[in-house]
Amino acid sequence: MAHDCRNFRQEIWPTLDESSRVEQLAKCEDCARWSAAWSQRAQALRSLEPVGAPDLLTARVSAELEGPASRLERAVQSLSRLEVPDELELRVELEELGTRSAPFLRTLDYHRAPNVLERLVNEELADPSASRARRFVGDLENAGAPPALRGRVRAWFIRPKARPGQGPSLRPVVGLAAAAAAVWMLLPLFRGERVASPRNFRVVYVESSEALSPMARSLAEGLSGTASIDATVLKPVGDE
Amino acid sequence: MKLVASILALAIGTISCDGTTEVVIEHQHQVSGQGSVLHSIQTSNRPHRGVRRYEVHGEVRGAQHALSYIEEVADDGKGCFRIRPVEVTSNLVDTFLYRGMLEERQAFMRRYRDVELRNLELVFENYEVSDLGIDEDVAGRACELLSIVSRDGERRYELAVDTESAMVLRYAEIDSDGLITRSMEYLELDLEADLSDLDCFENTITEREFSDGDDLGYEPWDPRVLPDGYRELETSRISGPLGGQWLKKTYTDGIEALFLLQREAAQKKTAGAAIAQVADEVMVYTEGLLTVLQGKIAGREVIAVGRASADELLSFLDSGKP
Repeated sequence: MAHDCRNFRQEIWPTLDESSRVEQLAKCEDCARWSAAWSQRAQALRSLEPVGAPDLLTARVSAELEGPASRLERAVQSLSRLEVPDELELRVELEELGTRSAPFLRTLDYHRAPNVLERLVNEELADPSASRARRFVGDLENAGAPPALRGRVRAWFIRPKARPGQGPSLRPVVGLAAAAAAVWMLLPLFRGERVASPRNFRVVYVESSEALSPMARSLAEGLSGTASIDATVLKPVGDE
Repeated sequence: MKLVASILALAIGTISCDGTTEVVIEHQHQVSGQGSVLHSIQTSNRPHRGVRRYEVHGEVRGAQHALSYIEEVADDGKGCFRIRPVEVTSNLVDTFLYRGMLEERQAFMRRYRDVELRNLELVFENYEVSDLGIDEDVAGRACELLSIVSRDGERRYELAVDTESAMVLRYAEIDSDGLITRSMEYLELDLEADLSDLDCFENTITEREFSDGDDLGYEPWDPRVLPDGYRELETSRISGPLGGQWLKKTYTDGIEALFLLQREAAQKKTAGAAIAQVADEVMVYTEGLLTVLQGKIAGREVIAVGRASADELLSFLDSGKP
């Protein structure tokens, strides 16, 4: 057998697709014979009936495996130890690095769900039907007031002028009272005092700086001279 | 004793006046015009190399915490600097990691961490400055000790100032109970160091002054209710990888800084009218004397950070709304 034929069969043949193989066999008679012989052998092997293990052997193997733990352990220990593939080792290292570098990663920008959305989701989960009702009630078309109701409301606000003999009007008194109340309420402002006003935003107290954005954390850390000085990083004094 | 004499003159002048702001300010203008020592402290930025220790004590979630670390610093006085934490001497969960985190934040630390005279007029309005009459060596250099006490008696600072360079080589902030809340001290200092091999820290956040002609695309909020003694110091625009562009207003009481960052909130499509009407929300985080607010109000993303109470900062934020 020519050296290039051996090389072809051992090295190149396994890498060829079907059409390339046919093409190559047409060029080389030796290779074509070799291929035909292999095909016949393969066909012959495929036609053989599979022979099962003797019942005695099966019984013994089962008895060994199901017997006392020490035997099973012996069997496992007898297996050759495989080396950890490099790829797995690399992944473990990366995992470890990821855990250690998590605080660094926290300093990078990320996009979290807005608090409002988070709260809405929580409300939805806590009471789905009430939450859904609240959400869709704003989409309902406003129904107009019946004419009779509108008339009564208008009559309430537009009072006829007092006629002679009906007594003095209360309007000046009410006006004066309103002005006095306004002055009383604004007095602290003139004195330079702060007036506590209800805020129309929700205030949520958080216990960890983790909830803050990277920019807010950076400024806080810059002012305090620390990095994430919260209880997740620092041990309390005396807690060795 | 030049430093002492100047400080005393300044302090006596301030205390003896009748307490009105105008007189103090006028006095300060005069002093600044004469090149006062306090002005030197304010502007001193000598090239140097050194080693210093920083300590901070405070309450976090009801427990007392103490943190201290030692850092090497090199600064060319023109904006190129490097601060390298070399030892963290506190009982942290992971000191190695913590050193890395500090190093990552060095631009913020350099700019905001240390006690600084940010505005002399306000220093004299809100604090009493006096000479302790003590000369001391810090890092082998002759220093004079100053005391700066807040007029509300809530805190005081003790500063050791290098008589030659006017650098603050040591300071301690002390609360009304007499406890040190933070301190810094140079352990070594070389004002003639060779800085030719200084590898500057590359700051990824850019900050530039905001001018009235700049178009933000929105009307900046301008809070009217400031914490006691504070006034606006400067306005700038910052941008960088920590979350896009912000308008930053800095306020000060002379020494402490307070920041308000704002920008238009990203427009998001909402599923229903009810969601659009949900009240806005502000998070409050406190750490020692520091309070951080972050949230979204009236279509504006806002961050407020300062050494003020949560209530003061909430009122401050609330008063900025149009």
